[in-house]
Amino acid sequence: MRKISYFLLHAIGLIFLLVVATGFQTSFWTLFFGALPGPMIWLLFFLYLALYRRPIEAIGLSYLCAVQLYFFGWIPFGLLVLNIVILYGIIHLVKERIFWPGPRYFVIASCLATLIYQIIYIFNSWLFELIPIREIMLFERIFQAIITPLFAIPVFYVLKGWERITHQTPLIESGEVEL
Amino acid sequence: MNFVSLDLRKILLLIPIISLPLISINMQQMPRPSDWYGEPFALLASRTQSLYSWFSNEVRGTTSLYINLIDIKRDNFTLRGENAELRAQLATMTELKLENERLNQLFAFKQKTKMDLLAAKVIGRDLSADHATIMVDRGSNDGVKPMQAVMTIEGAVGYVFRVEPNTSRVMLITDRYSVVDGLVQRSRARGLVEGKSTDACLLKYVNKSADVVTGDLIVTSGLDGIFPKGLPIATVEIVNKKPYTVTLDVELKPVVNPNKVEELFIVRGANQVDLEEPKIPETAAPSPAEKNPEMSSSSAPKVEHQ
Repeated sequence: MRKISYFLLHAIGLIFLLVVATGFQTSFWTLFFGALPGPMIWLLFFLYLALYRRPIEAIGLSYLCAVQLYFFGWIPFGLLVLNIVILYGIIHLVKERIFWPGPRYFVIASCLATLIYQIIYIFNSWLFELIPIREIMLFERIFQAIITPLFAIPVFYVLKGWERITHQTPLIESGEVEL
Repeated sequence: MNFVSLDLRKILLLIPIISLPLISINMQQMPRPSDWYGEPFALLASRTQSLYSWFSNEVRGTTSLYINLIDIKRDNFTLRGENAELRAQLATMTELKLENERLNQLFAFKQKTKMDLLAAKVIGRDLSADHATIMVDRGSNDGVKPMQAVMTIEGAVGYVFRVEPNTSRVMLITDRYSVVDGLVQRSRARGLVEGKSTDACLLKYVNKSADVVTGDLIVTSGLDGIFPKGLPIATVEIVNKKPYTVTLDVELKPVVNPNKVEELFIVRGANQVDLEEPKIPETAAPSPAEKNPEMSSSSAPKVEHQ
């Protein structure tokens, strides 16, 4: 019972942190930098869940986060969830082959995950959307892949800290191992 | 859990995981009112964006004050020189200002009598760079409803598609899901204006024989029941006449840069409004500009009410 209570607290806190991060991206960033593409901070949450949580927990929490994210934009919900599931599968496959604990891996993975997400989104848009993407916007996508890792370290430590507070045991204990 | 080596249990687990997004995509084809379970999430999103908007405005104000203090000495010297120059221009400007005020009063009066406008401020933009939507600080408490037009003085910006009590989400005309019924102002050729990217639109389904040239202004037709008739949407950038097709490929540049919009108007009851001037034959009656030379000034608003 206590374990379930901590898990629910963890999920609520995770949603709150996601809202704070996404609000920063969609409101604070755009009011200061205008049309300059913002970092995909919300994607870092999915990456963290995929890397450091058990599969069922990760997918369940990712779906919950996707419900919240849907209200921050106009991306179709089904497409958003499908993108996240495919991204999860790819991250899982890569992690089984290359992985080392610590924030550096998370930073590198965040850059790759941003690029992979963009590719998945373009393909899924062409496959499933009634009105698919009409322009690739290469500059915006590359810029986002460069800028998103800058926010990876704070997100990593915040989510790790929240896990400790809510007594959630990560799948693989991350440490400060040097490359 | 190793997902590469599959067994029956994992397959049974994968079925609901994969089927949920596919079912969601399928259900998306059927428009329906927002569900009760989405409301707390929507409320949370809109409240957060309002809070960030307020916070960033405060931060921007404070930081700009300190930056200005650093530069104030240097600016003072420059401004003294400019002051002398500006005094000379003041006399000319006063005359133009008076003229502009008169025209603005005329415009405002006509606007008051014809259109029910609600001023709103942009407080957030879309999560994804692939979609062009914005959030504004007006909602159902202010009388905003879905499918109400959003505009600036220059022209059309988009339309409201999701309303919360204190905020609304607006689909910009540059979003690929946006469709606005449009007319070429000069030749009256009809087509649908669809979004293409962050700063471009397309005019689709225009007959190949239609008279469309670069620089033509595209205005709203009013037939979609969202926008008032005659509101500028975009100007024609490129016209492609491809062989073996029945329609033209027309690329447009919006008259309002949606990335720079900060304040805008929500139009309530737009379908009762016609913004286009009546077409009066030159021989039958003089134009308003001929009647009143002041109206032909460059400062006169281009959009006129009927």
